[in-house]
Parts: sequence; structure tokens; C-alpha cells
Amino acid sequence: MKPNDAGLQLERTQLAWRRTCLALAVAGALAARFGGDLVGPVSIVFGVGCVGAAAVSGLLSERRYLALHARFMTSVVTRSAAPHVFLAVAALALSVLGAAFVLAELT
Amino acid sequence: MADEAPGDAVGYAKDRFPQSVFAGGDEPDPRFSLANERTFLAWIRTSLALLAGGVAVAALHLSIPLPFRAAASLILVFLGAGAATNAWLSWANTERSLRRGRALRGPTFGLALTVGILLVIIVLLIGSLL
Repeated sequence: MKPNDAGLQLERTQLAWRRTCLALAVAGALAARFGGDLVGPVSIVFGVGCVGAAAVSGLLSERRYLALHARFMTSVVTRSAAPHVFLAVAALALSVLGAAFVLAELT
Repeated sequence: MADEAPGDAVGYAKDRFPQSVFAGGDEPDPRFSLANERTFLAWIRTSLALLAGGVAVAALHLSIPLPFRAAASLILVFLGAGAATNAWLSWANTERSLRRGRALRGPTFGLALTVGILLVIIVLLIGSLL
């Protein structure tokens, strides 16, 4: 019998997913709440989209965590990298919004 | 998710996303895949931090001339976009290398990040001395 989650790799990874999704959700919420004044309604769309991407990625990663937890070391770890894409695209979109904000604020 | 027997890994790979990563090679040690994933997540958080810094430099009323503030915040925001892009690209590259037993690529974006942050520091420093 192999040790279950030796080094707590899975636990650490899940905690990283949680704090990353939380950070993205907070950033998206801030963009939706405060970005509208300078950048316009598009920041509400972007911000809500980021909160949604964070929620979906968080839920998918939690689901995988629960599925893998009992059988770590014997199974495929990454079934799909879709949550990765959600997070990366949302962070990129937020950066675009940030650029718009900076341009609006400084011109 | 992940409900296949280890022996199924090859056939199972056909419906995994993205195929450019999972189509070839062998399943690596799960600990390496998870470490790669944590690196991806750390880059996403780095991106968010850079973005927050850029927005803060623009939004706060610092006593720094406008062109300097604009340059610093634009560099930070662009670095943030670069970090988010790099998060995905380097995750895919690393996972591909792990599966094929090849050497990992170096942290290419790390140089851009270092140079960019140094630039931001210099720009803000000069701007605050003027």
C-alpha cells in the first residue's frame, strides 16, 4: 500500500487552487464594483466573468480533489486542463481591463 | 474525473484536454504534475499582483509626474498580461516535457519580469525625485 498523499502534494495543490481562485474572484469583484466609473460597463462584464471563471475553476478543482484524494498515486492527475484555461484567460482579460483603466485614469 | 485504471492511460489520453499536451508520452509521477500545476497557479497570482500594482500606481494620487506614473503602471499591467499568458504556456510546455522525459524549458518570462520590475523601480524612483 502506497502512502496516501505523501508530502501532502494533493492537499497543497488544492490549497493553491483555492487561494488563486479566491484572489481572482476578489479581483473580478473589485473590477465589477469600481471599474465602471472609468472604463465603463464593460468592466462589469469582465469582472463578473472573472468571478464566474474563478467559481467554475474552483468547483472543478474541488471535484477532482475529492475524486483523487482516496486514491492518490495510482491515477491520472490531470483529466482536463480546462480550469487552467479559465483562470489564465480570466487573468489575461483582467489585465486588458487594467490597461484600459490605466489609460483612462492617466489621460 | 480520473476514474480510469492506470492501464487505461493511453486510450484515456484521447479525450483529455489539451491534446497538444496529452496526446503523447507517458503519465509522469503525479507529484511532478501537481508541482507543475502549483507553478501555474503561482503565475496566475503573480499576474493578479502585477495588475493590482499597475492599477494602484495609476489610481493613487502619487506626487510623481504623469508620464512616469503612466509608464510604470503600463509596464506593470503588461507584465501582468504576460504573466497570465506565460502561466498557461509554461504549464503546457512543462507538462509536455514531463510526459516525454525531456529537459524542462528555462523560465524565459522570468527575465522579462525581472527587467520590467527593475524598469518600474527606476521610473518611479526618478519620477519621485523630480
